[in-house]
Amino acid sequence: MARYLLRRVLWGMLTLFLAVTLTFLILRVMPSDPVSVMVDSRMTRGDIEALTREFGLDMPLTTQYARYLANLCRGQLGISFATRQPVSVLLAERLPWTFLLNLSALTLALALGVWLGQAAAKRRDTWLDWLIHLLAALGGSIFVPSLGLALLYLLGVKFPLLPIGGTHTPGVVGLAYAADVARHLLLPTAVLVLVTWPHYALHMRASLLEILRADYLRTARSKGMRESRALWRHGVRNALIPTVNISGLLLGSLSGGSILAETIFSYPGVGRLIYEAVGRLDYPVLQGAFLTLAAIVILLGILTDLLYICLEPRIRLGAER
Amino acid sequence: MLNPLALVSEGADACADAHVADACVPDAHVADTCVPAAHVPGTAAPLLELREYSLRLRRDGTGLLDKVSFRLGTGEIVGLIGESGCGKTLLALSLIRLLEPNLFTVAGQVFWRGEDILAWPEKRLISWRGKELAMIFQEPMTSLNPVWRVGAQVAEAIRLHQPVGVKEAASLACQALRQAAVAAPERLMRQYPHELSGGLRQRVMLAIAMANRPRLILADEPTTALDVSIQAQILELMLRLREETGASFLLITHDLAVVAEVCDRALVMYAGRVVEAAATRDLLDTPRHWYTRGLLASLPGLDGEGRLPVIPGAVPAPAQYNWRGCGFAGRCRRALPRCGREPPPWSDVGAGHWVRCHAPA
Repeated sequence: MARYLLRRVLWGMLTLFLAVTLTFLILRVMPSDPVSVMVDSRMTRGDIEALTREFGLDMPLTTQYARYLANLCRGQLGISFATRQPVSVLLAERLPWTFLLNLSALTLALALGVWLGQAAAKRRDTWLDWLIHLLAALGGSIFVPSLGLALLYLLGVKFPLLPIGGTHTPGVVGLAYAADVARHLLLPTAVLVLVTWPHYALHMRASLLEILRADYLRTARSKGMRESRALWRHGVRNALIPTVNISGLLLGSLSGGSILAETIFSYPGVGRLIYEAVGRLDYPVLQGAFLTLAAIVILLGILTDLLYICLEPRIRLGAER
Repeated sequence: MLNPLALVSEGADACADAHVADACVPDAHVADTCVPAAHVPGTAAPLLELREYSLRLRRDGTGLLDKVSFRLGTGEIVGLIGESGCGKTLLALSLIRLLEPNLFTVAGQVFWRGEDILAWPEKRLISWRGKELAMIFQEPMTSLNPVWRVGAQVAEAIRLHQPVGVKEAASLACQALRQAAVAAPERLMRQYPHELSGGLRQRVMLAIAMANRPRLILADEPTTALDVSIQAQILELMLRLREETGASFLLITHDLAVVAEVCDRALVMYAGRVVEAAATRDLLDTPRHWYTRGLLASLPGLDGEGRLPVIPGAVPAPAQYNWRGCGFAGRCRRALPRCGREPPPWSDVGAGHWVRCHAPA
């Protein structure tokens, strides 16, 4: 178990290193120059050169890369080109909101997907099954910004039931604060849930259909268990194993989706930060944000694996051997 | 007679018996299929009685079981034998009512202690299944849920039918496992099925089946997947459990050695019909149906001499069952012209030995 975990963490770190390097390289091969974005017409040539030197952009690429890595090892993510704030401070401000958004979306999508997936499997080849399939196909193929803008217009502008942006209303405290945060969270979460649940539902349906023919489900019925109870205790419980396991894969697409959702709903998370930083060619912020997202995806991937081990007793033994 | 339990007292009077009378109109056609009664001394009413129980596929009406009739008394171990594809497992699954009701139609009656279970609502079935009637399956390797501990799976069966708390259910489960001759039940309770051998898993299945002290256990080839020494242990365990709890067993098998070892009586099935019913000794010593003879002849002896006589051909698929005549006629060396056309009637060939054959051996 410990050895497995160690190996998993080492692989994660290697992946992270590759992600860092790729981010660094991709940013440098972009055709535009970050200094040109910061320049304003009153600046002299000397000012511009000083600015370039200040951010180390005059050095060769290899030196920049080495300095970047060295700083990373010391835990320094750099200073934002645009706001002159440390990147770590910017990230620390935004991360909790991204976490809140993504975890709510993932949890709700899992719950909704498991529920609809088991319902579809139980009534396979009925109208309900077809309806769930249709909704899943729609949800899985919809583009986050289109759905987001539609909801924003409908519920934020046309019928202004929900706030159109931000994370909370300033000055609200106590229980009202929690309710206010939830109201702000509702639309971006809904969009992410709507595009994520189909993955869970289809996995749950397929796994459960297989389990419906399993001998142990027949044993459960032969004990005198109600069909619905047998299905949850011995069917859904077992089908959860492969279903939960795809969370690790879904996290990647979810964090991509959350960049779009945060941007549309002006939700100040890491995704929105990335969107802003791209406009300003703010290398340090982009590097820091991608690094953070990659780290989170890798970390949650490891957590998913651990969860998988908890759910699946046969693996536990294999790892101990 | 070696086994007094299997004695049939009434013989040919079966049709006149109070229980069977209404099912057997004195009409030539119906009388054909009349019940080979096996009365058990000491039991006024049988535990389980099937009367002309038939099962068909709802979709296209394919016949799967044809007018199966037999009785099973308290404390009896009855063997149900026949090749694969004769409908043995189907019969058991349909007795415990685990077949999808949308897919099958049934006819006839199944009496459980005098009540027709075919008329029971689902609620009644759920409180009966697993409590009064339990089932053990052929595949010990896959019949337990891989993600629950053994203890939880046994305790679950107990809590479904007995008003006990979690702790009490666990201690009852431990007792049930001990009764199933598990060496270290406390340890086993905490293990997962994949950590156990096939024999041990089948003991766990037996413990689950016995947990609520059922009156009847349907054992569907419980030893087929196990090696011979484990097989003997499981059979011995079944005999002991009968002694201790008075439970009856319907033992489905294609292994005649198993029947010889533990069964009081045996029923031979072919192509969805019961074709011969007799006390075990009687059946094995003097089989009267040509199918039973074929089955017995194909048993390998220990001397290893000569070629094994096999029954030519194979059990037809249900769609090809010939119920207009004798189902076995196509493979029978002694078939007469009428065997393919007329269903053979039940005939009592003495001492409770019943056979459905136009020309019994």
